Amino acid sequence: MAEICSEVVAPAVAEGKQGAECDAGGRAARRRRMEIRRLRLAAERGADEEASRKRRKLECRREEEEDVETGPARYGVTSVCGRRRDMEDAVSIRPEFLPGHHFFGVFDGHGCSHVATSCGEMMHEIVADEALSTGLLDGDGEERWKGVMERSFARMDAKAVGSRGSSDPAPTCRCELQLPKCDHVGSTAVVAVVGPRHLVVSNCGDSRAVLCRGGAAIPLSSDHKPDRPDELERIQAAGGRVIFWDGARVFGVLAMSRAIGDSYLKPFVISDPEVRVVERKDGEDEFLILASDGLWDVVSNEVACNVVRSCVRGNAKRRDDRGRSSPTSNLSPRQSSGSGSGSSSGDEAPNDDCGGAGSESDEESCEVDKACGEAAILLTKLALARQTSDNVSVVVVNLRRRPRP
Amino acid sequence: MDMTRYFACHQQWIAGQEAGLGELTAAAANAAARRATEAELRAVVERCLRGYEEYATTRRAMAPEDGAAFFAPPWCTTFEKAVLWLGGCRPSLSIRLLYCVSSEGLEAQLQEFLSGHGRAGGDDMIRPTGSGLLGINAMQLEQINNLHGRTIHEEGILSERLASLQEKIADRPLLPIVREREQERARAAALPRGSASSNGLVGRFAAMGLAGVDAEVDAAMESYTAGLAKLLEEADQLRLSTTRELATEILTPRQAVEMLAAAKQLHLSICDWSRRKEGAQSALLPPAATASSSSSGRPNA
Repeated sequence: MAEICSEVVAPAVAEGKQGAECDAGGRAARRRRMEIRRLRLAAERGADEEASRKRRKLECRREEEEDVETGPARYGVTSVCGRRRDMEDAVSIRPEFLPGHHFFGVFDGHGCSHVATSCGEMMHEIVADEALSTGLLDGDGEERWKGVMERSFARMDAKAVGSRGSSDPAPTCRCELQLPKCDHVGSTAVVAVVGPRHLVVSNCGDSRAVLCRGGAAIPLSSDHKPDRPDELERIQAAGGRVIFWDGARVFGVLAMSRAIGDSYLKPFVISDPEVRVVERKDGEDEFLILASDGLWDVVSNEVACNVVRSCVRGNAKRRDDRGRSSPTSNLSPRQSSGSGSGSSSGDEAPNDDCGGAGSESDEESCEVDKACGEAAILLTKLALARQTSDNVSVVVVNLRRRPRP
Repeated sequence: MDMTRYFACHQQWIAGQEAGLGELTAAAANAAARRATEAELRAVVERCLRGYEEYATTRRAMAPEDGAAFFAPPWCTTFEKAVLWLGGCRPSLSIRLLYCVSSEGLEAQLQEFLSGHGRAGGDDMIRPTGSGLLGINAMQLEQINNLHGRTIHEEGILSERLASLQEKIADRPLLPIVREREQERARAAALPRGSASSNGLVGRFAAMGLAGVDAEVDAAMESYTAGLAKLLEEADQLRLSTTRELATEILTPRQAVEMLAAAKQLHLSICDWSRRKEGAQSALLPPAATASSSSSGRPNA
């Protein structure tokens, strides 16, 4: 799967944008807008559904407290089987999975693909449900997000372990007819929730999220390897053993210390995520890279960030060379989402032309979006060139926000 | 079974491969120097694919006579036989090859690209516009990945069928004949020496031993051979369709020329090197042992 999403405009974002335009009046204007919104909400039918009520409540509260918007989800994604004969990676991209929040997830399965596939299909729904029932706000602190993500991962783990026989098996699932309940199957999960003020990154396993901020590559997750000192201690305290057999492995079997699934290795291998909540810094935050170890095994955090930054710079250079009048007509290869290879992505609306003739800042921002797509494919090609033996999945999320009009 | 025909067919095929490689290499050089038009390159690609298809057609015509020969071809070296999948290369090999060839030179260009000297070469890498294999774009990568998945799936189906066929060796129609003959032999051995019937039986076995076959056994063996011939045909079909899709639907003509040239080069090199190595080894063996392995020693695709 390779995909570049220049822009996704979900209805809620469009509304938010309209709101932003008349924001000049400050509080009074915002209050007025809130009133209009409340009226509209009141006029809507079918408001008895609890989830949607919570969602609206959240939306209203968000608007009361927030001045910033998340903006549309802008990202590039590539996911390939590579040198392996099985595709066990899954990618999930769900713009606006919660009002003002985008969900990005990379799941690297082992044993079979079905746990990773389930994570790709369900994780965002579980997180949304947990966030809504907690009444979580973006402005809320680390602890509450931590709780939401921990409960979500636990629920996902329970579903994954019991998913055989209940949900439809993935078309690529190899173990379909072999075992009624596959205990030896699991998946990593690295999930980033991009909100208006915060980035929430939750990780379980050895996939990784790296933030590029002010030119520096900042890892937002720490790989769960069995020989990480604190993980080793935890495993041993639980009565488990780490055996070096082609690298450090829990009982000589699994080369990671946390995973969704793998019920036969519990309680040594756990599904608890490590959660980091980072405040967004406009002007410094450039992009976020999520990838499976197919990339990180052969490309360092720093090189990955340099590659993305060079793509951005290359695009800007071309734009300057071209002159600002000509519209961007470069190929923007967009693929139908979720086609094949156990990957799935959200219901984003394709929009290739970056909104046509936009302002300079729009065009610039659009070039950065393109650069994310180009960076995702270039990183994938680099991983393949460096002989990665695993599936490669890369998501590059643009964190630069468009200046307010 | 006329082995000389197979050998001749294979030799002809290899000669064709060598000529084809020359044409592809020249075309790739012309494309790199921008001296070739898209149409010219497309014609070269088409000729190459036709060559594969014609060879498959010839094999299809010959296989029913002796399907088994194509699975362990006496005209191949031991090494070549060892890496054969259903009488030829694995279809997914093309994709693996493509991943390797398309990343040649990426590191060098990356350094240039990262250092900010974005000249045409570095630009090529991220802005692929009708360039070589290095410039595979996102849509192509998606298509290659899809083709990869489908090809591996199809390979799996054919491999499973080969497995069934191989297991069937221990089943009807062959096994009952083996058992029956064994019982007959035991009965014959139990009869007192010098009896007329015993002589008759022994005589019959002796005659069969000379001829090596009889009609019943022939028919039984034939059923397996026919199964192998059918599998060979389908495997060839998969090899062809994978290569054709890659070369004509996913890659640009220039990229296709580069990929096909690399494939031929790999094939002919393995052919050459394994023959040289095994030739050197067999020189150390007593003359009787070398007689059977001194074949033309070329693989098939």
